[in-house]
Amino acid sequence: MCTNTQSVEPTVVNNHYHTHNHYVYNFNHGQAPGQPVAIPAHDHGHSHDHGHSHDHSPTNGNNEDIQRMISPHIGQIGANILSANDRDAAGNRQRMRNENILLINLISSAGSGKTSFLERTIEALDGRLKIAVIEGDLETERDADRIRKHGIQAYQIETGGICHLEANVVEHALSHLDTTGLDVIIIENVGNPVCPAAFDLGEDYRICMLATTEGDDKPKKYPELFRRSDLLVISKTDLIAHVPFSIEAATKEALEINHQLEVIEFANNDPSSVDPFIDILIDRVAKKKSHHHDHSHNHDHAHSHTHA
Amino acid sequence: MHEISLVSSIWKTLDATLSESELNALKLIRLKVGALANVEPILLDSAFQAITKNTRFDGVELRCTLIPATAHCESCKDIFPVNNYRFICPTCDQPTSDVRSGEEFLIENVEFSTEGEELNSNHKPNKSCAPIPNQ
Ligand SMILES: Nc1nc2c(ncn2[C@@H]2O[C@H](COP(=O)(O)OP(=O)(O)O)[C@@H](O)[C@H]2O)c(=O)[nH]1
Ligand SMILES: [Mg+2]
Ligand SMILES: [Zn+2]
Ligand SMILES: [Zn+2]
Repeated sequence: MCTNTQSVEPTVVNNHYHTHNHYVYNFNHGQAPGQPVAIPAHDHGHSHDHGHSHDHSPTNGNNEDIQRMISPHIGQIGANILSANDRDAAGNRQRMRNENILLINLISSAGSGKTSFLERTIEALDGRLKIAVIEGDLETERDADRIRKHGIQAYQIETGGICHLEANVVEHALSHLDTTGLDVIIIENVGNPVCPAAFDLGEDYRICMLATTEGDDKPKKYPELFRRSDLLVISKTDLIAHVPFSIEAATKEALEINHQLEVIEFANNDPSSVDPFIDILIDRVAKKKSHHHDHSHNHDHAHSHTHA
Repeated sequence: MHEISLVSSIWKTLDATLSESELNALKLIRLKVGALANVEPILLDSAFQAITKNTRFDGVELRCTLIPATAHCESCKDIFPVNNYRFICPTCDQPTSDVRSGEEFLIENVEFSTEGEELNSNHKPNKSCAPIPNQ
């Protein structure tokens, strides 16, 4: 289990940090406490403050207004727990849209070959695209240094032992980058295939990586990573003769979870293995710049539906 | 894994939603957790217990309702339960990514204790977060 060095004491602060929370308060007219109440299928996105006028008398229920009534015992709350992260992610997405920069989130276990893949990508691009990297992988500057050796701007996030990046951390990292003229920013997430999958960072494109040394049963072991990614990179394919890994089996499992997933193979000792990825990058960057926004990724919509 | 950070998000949300007196009277938090939410209720509950221990929220109960995963098939228009992360229609064998339920991660409602009134005392305390059934 991962530890988090941040203070997570449920200390209650009075400043209501939000301005655009999309909470839905249900109106339970004459409802007995404890009775389930249907939550509207979608929240309405109204910004509002919480005036906390606890009027327990029947009120004119206006469906368009977000309303709230606290019965003696039950407070209906239809709040998406990740709404704060989703809001920050939307902010990053908007910023990248304004600046026409493709934002990519790269996720895998520690040691799968993320940094190596980025290094070979940078070499193969050979200046064709202007790229920067946000490193979340290590607490040391080592991965960022590896990138900088290629003459590429890299910002190292001090993860302080956290097991995933959240959108506000990326927002902060973006403020440290000189984004002038950039085409692509790739975020190398914390080396962990589970936790980062749950957090939208505002990326346009998500890559997951699975090394042949990890076992071909992994897609169903941490399926959310594969379900929410656009590209699967099967890495360390040079070792295929020495490890019990079937590229076919891993691909089949991954496609059962997400049939839209593209799959490529990567071997660090074969520089041409990143070529399919270079094609994808060039294509995506061109699309982004021509404002043909691609919505094929599904994490835009994660956690936003309540399906009453 | 990331459950500690999720618990912290739960508190931030409640913090921004409830008044001080409501927070003080908080007894129970009901969550809806989808099978695709990447949340392990048992770990969430342990993280919640660990974080609230020896605070004024010690004893507040967390209860999770699990929402199974379902998906929609484009060819037969059927909505089918997704088992073992197989997003393939059992009828026509067509793949789909049109998820219809299971991504939820919500605070559904909260329950307060009210002075002089007994809360439903038939609530079993704690540990009511069941694991996601093995699909
Ligand atoms: N055999 C082999 N080793 C690789 C490959 N890619 C990376 N490695 C090695 O795996 C280790 C971890 O690689 P790194 O790129 O730092 O992984 P990261 O933690 O995911 O960023 C290093 O020792 C690399 O040299 C590959 O394709 N084949
Ligand atoms: Mg690395
Ligand atoms: Zn974790
Ligand atoms: Zn069908």
